[in-house]
Amino acid sequence: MLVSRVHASARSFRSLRRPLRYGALPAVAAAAVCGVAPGAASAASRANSLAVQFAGPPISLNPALGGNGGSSVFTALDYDPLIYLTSSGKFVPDLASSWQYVGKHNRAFEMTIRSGVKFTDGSPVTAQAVVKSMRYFLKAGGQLVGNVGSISSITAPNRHTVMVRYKTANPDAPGTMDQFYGIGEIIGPKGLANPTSLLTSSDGTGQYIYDNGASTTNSVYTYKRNPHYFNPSAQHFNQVQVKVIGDPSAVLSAMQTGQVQFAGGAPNTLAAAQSAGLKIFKQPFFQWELIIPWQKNVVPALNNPKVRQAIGYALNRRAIANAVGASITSPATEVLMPKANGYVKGSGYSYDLAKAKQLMAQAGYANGFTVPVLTESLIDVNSTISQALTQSLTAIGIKTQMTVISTGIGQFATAAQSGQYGIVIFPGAGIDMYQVANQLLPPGIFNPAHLPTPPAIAKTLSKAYGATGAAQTKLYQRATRQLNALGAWIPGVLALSPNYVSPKLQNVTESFVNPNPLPVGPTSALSWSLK
Amino acid sequence: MPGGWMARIIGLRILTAIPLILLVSFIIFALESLVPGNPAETILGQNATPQNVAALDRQLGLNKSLFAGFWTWLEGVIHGHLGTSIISGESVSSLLNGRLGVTLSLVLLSVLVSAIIGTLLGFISARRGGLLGRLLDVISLTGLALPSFWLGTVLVVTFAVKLKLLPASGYETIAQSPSGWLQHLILPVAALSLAGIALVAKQARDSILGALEADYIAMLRGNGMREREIMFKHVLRNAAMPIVTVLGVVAIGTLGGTVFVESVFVLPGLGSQATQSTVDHDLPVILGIGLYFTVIVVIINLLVDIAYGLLNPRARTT
Repeated sequence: MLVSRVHASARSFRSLRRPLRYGALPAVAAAAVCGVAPGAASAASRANSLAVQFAGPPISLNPALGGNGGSSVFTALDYDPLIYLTSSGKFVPDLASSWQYVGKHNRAFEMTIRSGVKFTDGSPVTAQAVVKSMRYFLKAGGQLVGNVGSISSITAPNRHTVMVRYKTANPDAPGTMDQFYGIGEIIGPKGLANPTSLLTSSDGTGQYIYDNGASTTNSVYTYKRNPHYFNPSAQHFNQVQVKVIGDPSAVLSAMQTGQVQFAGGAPNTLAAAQSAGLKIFKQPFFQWELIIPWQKNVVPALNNPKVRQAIGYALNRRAIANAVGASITSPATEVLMPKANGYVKGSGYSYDLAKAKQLMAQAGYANGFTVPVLTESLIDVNSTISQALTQSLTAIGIKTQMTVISTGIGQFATAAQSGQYGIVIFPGAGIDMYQVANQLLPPGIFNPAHLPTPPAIAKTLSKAYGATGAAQTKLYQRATRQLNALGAWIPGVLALSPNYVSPKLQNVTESFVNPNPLPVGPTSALSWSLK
Repeated sequence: MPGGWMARIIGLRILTAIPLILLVSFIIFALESLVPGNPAETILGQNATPQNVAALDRQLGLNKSLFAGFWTWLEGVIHGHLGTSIISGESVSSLLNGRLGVTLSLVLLSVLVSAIIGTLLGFISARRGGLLGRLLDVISLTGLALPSFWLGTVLVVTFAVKLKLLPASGYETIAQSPSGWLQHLILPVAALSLAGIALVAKQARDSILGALEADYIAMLRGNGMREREIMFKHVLRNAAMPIVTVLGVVAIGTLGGTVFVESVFVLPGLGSQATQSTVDHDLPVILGIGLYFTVIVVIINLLVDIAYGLLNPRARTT
């Protein structure tokens, strides 16, 4: 399930995104140990400092309690993940030198732990230490605990091997061990003995160590170089700072004046950033959806699938995207994004007003009805997208009474599940069916009426999660068609997330699979550097 | 006893500060309880279900009644503990102490700039009058009308982005680099001071003109006292009290203005912390900031009272 705490619009935009897609992941992914340069990067060749922006403070500096997406930067700097997701979307070894599924049906996952690595507290990284950290993650109660699959056990058969067993198939196990999921970011024994200490110090194996004395809470987070990092050639800076800047204009100014070298952009500063000569990356980020409980809806008409489908056809997505900003949004017609594994071209909803009216008439609602709608203004600033989406519904006679929550996503989540709203508007994310289904189907914002998964969909998904390769893709596609037909999540527009990058910064890339580039990686080429 | 009046004023202010702090804290506590949402929902984010929220409420001690919750906080304050941030787990006092210097730097510099430039402009206007006086009126009204956050943005674009003369955002402590500290504060102080300069200039002009029209000034002139002596010994001294009053108001207004300006200039002060903690519903931190702000306001009023006493001995007995 997609989870993250959100404080402010820009920040939430960065932190909510689950950036993962694994595509056709091989069942066995053994990989070579990262190349460690024999000669560490010399102090002379290392740039003094890197500064990056993030729109809000960290949810927690304890990786077991932290957030995902862009907010992972706060823990990725000082905690190595077991498996590293590159910006181009490939999994490469980090603390785990190799990994594989054991047996059939994606229910047991084995990792070999890199040897010779030490935590900041000086103790060695062993399989036992990794197991303790992962078990702590499961107990700590962080926001990401629901995202790592239904783990039944984590054990260390020997000093170098960690075995994770799942109650139900988890086709995305490697992805859950990367830098965005928390469980893969391994904490040392000293930190585990006193988790509160992780708020003011770090105990990982990462390239940098959190420097509380040089940091100011909610403003600047400073990390100094870890002298014991296992691959010094990947450390290109003596110090990295994460600066919390929420105001989009201040972000742009900071980029223009060189105070930060990387920042999350915003639609209203995009043109100025372009003319200022900044490099701009844009990747699909959020898919805005009308979430409609398909049973027990407070508006009885919405229990009728024809009415929900009519809504799907009534949205003039191109006009909505143009109204919101064509450079930053595009029409979305299916529950999956176009590049996602399981996407079926043409199986969703395109704009067809005549068909929408016909479906409304067939359902007995030719004159329309009134729906209470819930949205928020934290991600959807000024509720612009929500207003554009609901405006389209007037064409088929549906009037909306919109309630906008502006005080927090938590409060929005509670309101969404109150049973008072016929439609809830919120963005979804996810890069394959496993992620999307785990976001849409469990009780929560996307299933506000807490309805059980329709048996046919549950059956398809269960088969798909245990399958691999082409067979899995085919089952994902079947699930896509079933979910589209249910009409419980009507896609509206796909929002792109812009990032601003200084022309001097090197090795920064991003992709649909990973739209949240991070400054550190296990090799020199995967770590950012300055020209 | 020499200075006895000052001790009496300080004592009186401290005595009145106690109920004021209690009242302000309780109002903040009560208002926060009326705001939709709570820290548990903030922490849980999208995971927030009514059951999860209730469980976390109990864990954080947020399920207490208004008075019980306030009393718990107050007990801690009496024992010197402002509590712990619900969000970051940090001690509130250490969190706020680290930010106090930024806000005080902003306020003190802004008041100083307002006092010097405002008084100077008022003085020149009063002496020259005519077109300059009217121009000053226009500038004063403009200065009052321009919001500091808008002005801040304009200053950043002009002096940081285009001219590259000053940093656009951020902060350095005076210990890290005195010149860096000053450079980072020039634009925010400019943004914060404009309204203060306008207010002080207008008040200074009116007060000086009023003092100049007094009968005893004509008498002093008639007695042959030099104009410079009249101006500095009598006019400015008499005009100073209303200016000091306005400076007190400016200082308190500037304190409120830091909430916006610190956000625009990304300054790690109490104002930006107030914004963040309000969004997070981090009540211990919000109460701590309320306490700090109230104490600062009390100190400002105390300084104004002391200044009255120094400027006018008759004010020492009232």
